[in-house]
Amino acid sequence: MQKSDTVSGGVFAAVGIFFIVGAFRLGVSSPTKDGVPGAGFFPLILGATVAFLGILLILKAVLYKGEKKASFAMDAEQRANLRPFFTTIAALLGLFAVWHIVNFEAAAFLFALVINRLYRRSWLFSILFSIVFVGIIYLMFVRLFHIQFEL
Amino acid sequence: MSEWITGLTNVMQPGVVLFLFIGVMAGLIIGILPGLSATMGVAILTPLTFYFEATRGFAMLIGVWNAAIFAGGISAILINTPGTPASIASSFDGYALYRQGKGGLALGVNVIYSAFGGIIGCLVLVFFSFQVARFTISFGPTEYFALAFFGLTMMMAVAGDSMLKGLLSGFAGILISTVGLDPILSVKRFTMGNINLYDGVQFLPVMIGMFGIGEVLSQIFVHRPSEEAAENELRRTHLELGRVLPTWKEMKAFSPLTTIFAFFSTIVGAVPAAGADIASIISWGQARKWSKRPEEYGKGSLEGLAVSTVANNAVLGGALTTMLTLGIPGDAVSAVLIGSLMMYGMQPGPKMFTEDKGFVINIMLLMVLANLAFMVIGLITAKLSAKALNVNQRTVWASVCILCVVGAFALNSSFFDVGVMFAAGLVGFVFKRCGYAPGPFILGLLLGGMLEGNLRRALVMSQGDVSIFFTRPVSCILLVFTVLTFFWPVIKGMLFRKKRIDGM
Repeated sequence: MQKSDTVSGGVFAAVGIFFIVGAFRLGVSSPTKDGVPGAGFFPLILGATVAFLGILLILKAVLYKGEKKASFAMDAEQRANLRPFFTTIAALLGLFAVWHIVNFEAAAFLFALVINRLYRRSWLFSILFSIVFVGIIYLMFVRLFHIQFEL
Repeated sequence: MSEWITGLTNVMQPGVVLFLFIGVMAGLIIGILPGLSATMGVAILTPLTFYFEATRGFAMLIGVWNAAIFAGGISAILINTPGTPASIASSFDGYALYRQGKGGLALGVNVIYSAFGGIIGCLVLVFFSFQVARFTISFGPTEYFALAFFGLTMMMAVAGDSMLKGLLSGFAGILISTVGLDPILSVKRFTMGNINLYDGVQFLPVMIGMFGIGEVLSQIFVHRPSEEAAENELRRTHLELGRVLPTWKEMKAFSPLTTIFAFFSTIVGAVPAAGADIASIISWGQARKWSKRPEEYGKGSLEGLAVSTVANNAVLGGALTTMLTLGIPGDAVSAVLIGSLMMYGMQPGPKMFTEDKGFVINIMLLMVLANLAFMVIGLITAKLSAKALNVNQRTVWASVCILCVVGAFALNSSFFDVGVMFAAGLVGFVFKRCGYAPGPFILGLLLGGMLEGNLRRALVMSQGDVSIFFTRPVSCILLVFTVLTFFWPVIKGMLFRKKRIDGM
């Protein structure tokens, strides 16, 4: 068992309930007499199953008496990973934002440069990697397959 | 026979062979690097192949798949860390052999017996899949519903440490598959006014995100620089690899067990979701019981290594048999291949054996060629491949991030897919940390449409009478199997308790 099981079980139960409510709005029973269940039939069954299993997980976690594993625990050495972890997510979001302003190749070059610097690679390596990697992507996808990375 | 000759002509074209070799090389690198799985490699490269002619695209994917599974054994042997889950059992003896100065021989056995297992699997695929397809051609919606349901529960039975979490993950995947237009009535469901969701949540961006970004984030989170430094130091002190090829005498001694477990693993592979990791562990354990020298197993037994490597590639032929004949994925990679075939306008299943018979033959021949190709490349580069392990993990993380974005966009030139991929990556990371296996979720997403469509079509046929699932023999048997699989842990517990009471 993990410490996060109560929360994750709750999230699944909430998702299940969201689909149950939506399923009732869509109509569960057949609109005709040919035996076809409504559009909400399948989401209702599955929503109920997911909600039930989510609640079961919560109960199991609450009733469990043994030691629970922490899902996001880090030791002293691993704590240093928080910086590259969050900066990777931020850099990806940055790539998506910059992509809307400049073309993809420039955005990808910037991303590759920034992410390598964030991972503490040397300036020389970061620049070379960014040029070579983005160059290969440009040659393969844009020149060879004619994919336009325009939004 | 003429179809096979035409197929052979197709796959021997220089363009196809070139793409196969590119795929094998890519698979070799992906397999060697721990953390890059065959599933991730095939998922990221799949969007690229849509721009090629179908045979060339599939040559590349099949090359990646076969080579990555075998190459996972290289890092298992050299750094005691399986490159892919399929190679877990290879580390039991492979690493011990490496520490004894027989690393080259272990690498040679890994290449030769992976190819041997792979070819046996292909032979089973060639000789049995047409018969299975002929049997399943009469399947209707009831059988397909039962089959999809069976496939799903099999996946859940092997989903990580917690069955409950496996079930939650799988059912959540099916639930998400209901987003989009209703398959029968074309009513918009849970689209929240977003036109991009009318086609539903696309399976490939989710797969790329979960196995790409999710894996990278997870690796960053648990990374230990001290362990990385220790591994590098260990590699520096064990540079001697020795000879690569085993002698005839050695090979003759392994042949009975390796042949038996090649066939056994192919059958395991045909069972939906029972993957190469399970096959190789079971084979290794069973071979130890039957071996003349069981005491050597786990301490550097060449026979033990040969059996485990035979198993990890023999599984692929079985998985492909299930995928092509029934349209049910035998493992995560074949799930991606189903998506890939669908993008080419083909629907895996018995009809494919009549409508696209030529392409089915091409796939079978490509599987055989991929095994021969990775054997040649693997033997030539056996000692050189050890160098690939020196690639810095940070370089891999940066490359995977960019490739995931490019791959997700290239699928449909849609930024929405990139967003789905990124969201799936975050979900994949949380899943991993909280102990939810992503496999059942992906399978649920893929099989959800098949489950719902066939369930409702069957109910139309029966005017809403659910007994149709129990009056048709095949669907009834499959549903019984499904229930037995689902309750197997409970039944097993009861049987053991009874045995214990009887024994007292």
